[in-house]
Amino acid sequence: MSPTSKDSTEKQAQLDRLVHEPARLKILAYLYVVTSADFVFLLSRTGLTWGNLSSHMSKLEQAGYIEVEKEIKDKRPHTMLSLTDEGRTAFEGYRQNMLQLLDESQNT
Amino acid sequence: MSYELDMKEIERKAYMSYSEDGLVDIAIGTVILLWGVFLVTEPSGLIGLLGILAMAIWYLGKRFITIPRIGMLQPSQKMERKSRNLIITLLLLGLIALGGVLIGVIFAGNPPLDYSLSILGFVIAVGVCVLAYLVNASRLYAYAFLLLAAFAGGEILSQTITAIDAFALSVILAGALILVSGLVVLVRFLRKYPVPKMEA
Repeated sequence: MSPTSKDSTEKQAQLDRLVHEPARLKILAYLYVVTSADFVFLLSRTGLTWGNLSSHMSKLEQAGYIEVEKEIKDKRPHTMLSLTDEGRTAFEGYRQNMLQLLDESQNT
Repeated sequence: MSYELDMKEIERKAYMSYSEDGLVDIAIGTVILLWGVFLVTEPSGLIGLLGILAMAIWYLGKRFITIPRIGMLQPSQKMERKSRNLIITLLLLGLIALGGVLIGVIFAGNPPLDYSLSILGFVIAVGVCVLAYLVNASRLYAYAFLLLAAFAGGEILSQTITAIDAFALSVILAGALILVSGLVVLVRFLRKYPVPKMEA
C-alpha cells in the first residue's frame, strides 16, 4: 500500500461515524451556525420526520455533542438544542478530516 | 464546490427562511398604501400610527405564522450584530418617514427645495436597500426602485396634472404593488412550510 493511500485509509478510519451519518451531519451543521435552535427549526431545515429527528437527537445527546433543554411554552412542550463544546470540536474535526480526504483524492 | 462554501450555504439557508414569509413586504406595502390614502383623505392624526401598524403586522405575523412553521433560533453573535443593524435601520427609516411627514405639514404647498418629494423618495429607497441587504431579500431592491420611481414620477406628474393628486396616486399604486407582492410571497411560504404535526 502506498504512503498516500495508507494516510487516506487512516483518515477514513478517524472519521467520526456519529457525525458522518447524513441526517446527523445536517443537524450538527445547522446547530453550528446558530447559538441554539428549537426542534421545529431543525425539522423544517433538515426535512426529517419528527420521529427520525428525535432519534438522531437522542444519539447526539448521549454522545455529549448536543445539549437539549425542554420547557413548556404557551402550554406546549418546547425543545431547544445547542452544540456543546465537545460537539463543536467533533464537527470541526470531522470537517477538517473530510477536507483533507477530498484534497488528497483530487491530487491522486 | 468546496466544503467551506457549503457551510456558507447552510448559514444562508438557516437565516434566509425568516425573510421568506413576506411580512416585511406586507408591512412596507401597507404603510406606503395607507400613507398615499391619507394624503388624499387627510386624516393627519392617523399618519403617526403607521409605524406602529407596520411593527404590529411584522410582530404578530412572526409570532403566529412564521415561528410555528419554521421554529425559532438564537442567532450566532455575527448574526446578532446584523439584527441590531437591522433594528437601527428600521428605526432610521421610521424617523425619515416621520421627518418627511413633518416637512410636508410645515411646508404644505411651499416645499423648501425643488423636488423635495423626489429627494425623500431617494432617501427612503436607500433605507429599503439597506434593509434588503440586512434581511438578504433581493426583491426589496426592486421595491426600493419602485418607491423612488413613485416618489419622483409622482412629483413630476403632479406638476403637470392638476385634476387629481398624481403624487398620492403613484404612492398608493406603489404601496399596493408591494403589498400584493408580499401576499404572494406569504402564500408561497405557507405552502412550503406547513405547520408540523407532532407524531404520536
